[in-house]
Amino acid sequence: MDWYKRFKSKACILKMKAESKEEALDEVAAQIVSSGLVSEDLGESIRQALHDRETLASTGVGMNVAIPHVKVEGLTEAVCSLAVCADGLEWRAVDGAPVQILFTVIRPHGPTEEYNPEEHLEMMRWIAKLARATDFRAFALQAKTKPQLVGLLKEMSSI
Amino acid sequence: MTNCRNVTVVNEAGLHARPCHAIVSMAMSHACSLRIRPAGEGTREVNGKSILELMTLEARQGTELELSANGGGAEELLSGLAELFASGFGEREGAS
Repeated sequence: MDWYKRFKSKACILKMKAESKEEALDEVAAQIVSSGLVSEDLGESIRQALHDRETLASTGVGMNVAIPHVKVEGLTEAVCSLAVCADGLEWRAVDGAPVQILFTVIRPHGPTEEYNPEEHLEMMRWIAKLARATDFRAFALQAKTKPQLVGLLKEMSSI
Repeated sequence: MTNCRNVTVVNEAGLHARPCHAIVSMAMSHACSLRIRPAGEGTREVNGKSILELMTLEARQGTELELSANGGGAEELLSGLAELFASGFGEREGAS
């Protein structure tokens, strides 16, 4: 499966403006909505779900990476976003390190024609392998354009 | 001396990010090392104190894992983790 195809350029953010975790979640949710990949009326559900998820446990998985991921009613397929904040954001990550790279995954509550929940663990494994790669993190932080940033996902897809 | 314990992933959603977070949080509060691998496999062993490494196991419901801890608090950690796995990480069905 070509998981990188789930990350559309228009849903990704090269330089986040957010100065806190809360602002970052809002910014990612807004970007996903403005990308047109999801219906505008799902925007608040997505934003709220992302905030609620953080109250269960931080999605900061270490190595300056966070993987916010939620299920949202009304979606027909998974929508993903890669976002970079070079300055780093406090995220209460498991290793205490600030977060610079966000992989956000928004997915339907159950199976649909375009989405098979059985794929979730496999996609998360792919994301985890990318996130662990020192080169990927370094190149993502150095990307000058959004196509460069998103291109990394494809380039390093078989890592 | 290394202490070992086999556990089974019983929660429906498998070892996704939140269970991995719970494992690492518990492991980090113990001085010992923690290695985890699918039972019976020799190669795919990961650091139990790294969420990202644990996620690469892609352990689904029903998977049996071998936990190995070495150092201070090893037995206590393994007992705690065995309870955590047995409880299904406190998840309701369909959680993720």
